[in-house]
Amino acid sequence: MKKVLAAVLCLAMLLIAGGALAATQEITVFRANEPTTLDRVAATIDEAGKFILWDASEPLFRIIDGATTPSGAESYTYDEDTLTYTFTLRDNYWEDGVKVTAQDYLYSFQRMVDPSNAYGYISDIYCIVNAEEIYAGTKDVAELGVTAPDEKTLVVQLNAVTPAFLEVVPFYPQRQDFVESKGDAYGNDVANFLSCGPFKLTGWEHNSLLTLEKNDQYWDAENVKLEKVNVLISNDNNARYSAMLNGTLDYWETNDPDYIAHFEADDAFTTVDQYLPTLTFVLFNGQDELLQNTKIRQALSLAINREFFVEAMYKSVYPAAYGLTSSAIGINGVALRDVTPEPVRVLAEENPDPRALFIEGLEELGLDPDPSKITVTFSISSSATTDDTIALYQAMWGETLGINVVADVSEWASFWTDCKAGDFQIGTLAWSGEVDISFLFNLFLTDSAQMPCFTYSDEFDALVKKANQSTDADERLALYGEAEKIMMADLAAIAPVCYRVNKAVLRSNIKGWDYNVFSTAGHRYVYVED
Amino acid sequence: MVKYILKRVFYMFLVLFIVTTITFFLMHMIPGDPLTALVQKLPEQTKINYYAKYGLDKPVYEQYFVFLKGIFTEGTLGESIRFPGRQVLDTIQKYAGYSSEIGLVAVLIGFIIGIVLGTVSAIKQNKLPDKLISIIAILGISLPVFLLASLFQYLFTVKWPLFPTLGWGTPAHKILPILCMSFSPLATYTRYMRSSVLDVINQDYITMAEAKGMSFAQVVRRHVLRNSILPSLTILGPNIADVFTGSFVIESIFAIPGLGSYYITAVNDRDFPMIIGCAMFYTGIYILSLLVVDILYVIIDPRIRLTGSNSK
Repeated sequence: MKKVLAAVLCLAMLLIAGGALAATQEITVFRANEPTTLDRVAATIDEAGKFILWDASEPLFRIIDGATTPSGAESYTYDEDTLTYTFTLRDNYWEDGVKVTAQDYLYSFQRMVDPSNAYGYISDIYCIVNAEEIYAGTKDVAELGVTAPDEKTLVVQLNAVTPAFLEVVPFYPQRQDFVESKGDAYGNDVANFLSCGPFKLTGWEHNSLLTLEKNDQYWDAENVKLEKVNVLISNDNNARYSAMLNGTLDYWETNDPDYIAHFEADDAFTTVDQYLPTLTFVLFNGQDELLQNTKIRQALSLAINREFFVEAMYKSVYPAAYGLTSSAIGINGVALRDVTPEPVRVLAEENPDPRALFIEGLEELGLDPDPSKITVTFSISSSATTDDTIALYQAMWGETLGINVVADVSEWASFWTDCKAGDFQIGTLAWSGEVDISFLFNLFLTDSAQMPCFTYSDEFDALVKKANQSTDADERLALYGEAEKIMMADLAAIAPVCYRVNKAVLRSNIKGWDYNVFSTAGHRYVYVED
Repeated sequence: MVKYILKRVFYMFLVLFIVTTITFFLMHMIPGDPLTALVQKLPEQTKINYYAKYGLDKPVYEQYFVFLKGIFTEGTLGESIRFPGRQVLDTIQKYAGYSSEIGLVAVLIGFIIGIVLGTVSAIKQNKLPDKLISIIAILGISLPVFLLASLFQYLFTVKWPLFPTLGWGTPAHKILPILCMSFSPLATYTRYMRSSVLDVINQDYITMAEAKGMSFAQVVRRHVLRNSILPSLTILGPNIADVFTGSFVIESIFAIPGLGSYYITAVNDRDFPMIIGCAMFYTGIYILSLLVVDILYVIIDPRIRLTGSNSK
């Protein structure tokens, strides 16, 4: 008994303690391209620039393990009546020792709405009082609904209920004296950037390597274990593969089955599926003579053998899609997929014979009920996989429904112009969602008209608009779930085909990694074990 | 000679001006602007503010005069649109240097070894050395540089970890890229040299030199090399200019901070000031290297006269 107890205790200690920290706390990651700038409110700020800022700056909130977590803010209160957020800041310092104040956060908001900066993601903060008017030049910056009553308090006033406010708005501090002293050069080099995050930028060899070192001035520095993060600029797959094998690189993302097989077989690497918010789908023109019929659209959607498609196109690395949102998208870490079944799966169970459904649709339209007399035009934008895609759809629809499919191939700009004008019958494309779940749903609203499916529904609009305004996470998910069912199953306005998944490959002795595709945690909690 | 060079330099500026002007209007004619290259959901107001910020809302001819004014009054090529706060001139100055550290060395190595191999190959025509060298030359011409780079990277950084895979800074970082980049020029010069040596070696004056008792090595050095190097020299000029654009692939594979990636991304991103700056730089280098090659001609082959210098 004692032996058993001792064994259990030992095991427990091992589990708690894990491996010992390695002596060298340094990792090397990559970005595919050079950050255009580290000025968060520049017109051309790109993903690589944001990636560096997670480490080198301190937003009020970060998305950590899928949850919106206070970071630069210590706490906040929200007044539902006046739609006002009041944030209390932590005691954080710039790398030169000056305190980070609410004024610094306010200043970056003022720069965002300043028309002369032409900030690109401005619509994300249109929910703030007067932001839109100032950006359009009709009001003065002083009228912005953001104030800093004292150096630890930031107050933001909204003009509408915005449940995703904390996730979507970029709260990054910028120090006025520093930004003004650098002018246009702010954020373009080590000397022209001031860090206040878990790490500070210490080296930037453009188009080659950025170096970040631990920032001892950071408020949570005692919990930052990494001493150094190297960010290599590399966009060649073979080079990155070699770099992973010989230890140059510690982290990679790939969707190539050959590489994945290699890394999965090697204990030195941990591999994790990373769901992306992207959906590949078939777009039906609901104004078309044939496709205006719901049963026809449903039959076309059901006749797509998605498992066969992803196997043939992507060796099943990408998962088949039966709904609008992949597992990546949800609210506060709960994916819509966790609470609602994919609507097209349900539709398929109710309608086992797509061909019969198609013929019913033809009869409803008063057409000849022989599917072999029907020819549809399938539009697609040209890429390396265009021919394979066309052949697959011809096979799937040809065999299951018995219809003929002809292809119309053009480059993206013309393809999309035609689609927007309603000058197509069936098309295929992929679209990426964002951290805020409402983004993909808003595309299909009648008045947004961003997605030319021409099958709109008042019921869908009402559900989505209600969900967008709701502050209750469970209710929001339920409403989006209902809306998704209407769009994908009841109306079959579009036919989902596949989601996307990357394999994240990490050296096994590196821990504390946040694999969430929307994570803004940076490398703050990452550490290296022996 | 001096008069000739002055005249050529004057023409150089003229060509530069014409090329710049044509490039300026051509790049504004292709569909798209720096904004369409950004994949974002952009509100209409952003477009208006953005065009105003970079002067893209003005008519093209007006933008052209603003650009010329910048060159002549302030000596500036403007600021990158894609990379805010980076002066085009500074960027070119700094990163062209990195490109040339790899590219120029590679071309020179390729040139020298190519000349030697081509000569050997011709002298030993149809014998074993010729056949071996021909295989190298064919491989060098037909193997794409990215394949070679990936292969070298795997062999020399993973299989036998002798060199670093990615990055910049130490001499060791430069060896693999230089090796990869020298392979194609090496093959080109070998083939040019081989055929022109074969041509020269059958000339009467070679037979005469041998007849008067010169050793074979002397004949090759004094007569064959000097006479057969001219075709190789002709392509050296363009090759040197290509260093700054053709290095893109190698630079991106090895994470080298060269000018190549700026040039390519500038075109894709419609970064107008950067495109025009790089085009001007490339044109300048190209013309300059042609001039240097022309002068080298005269030094190597006294029979050639530069028009303009033969003052009668």
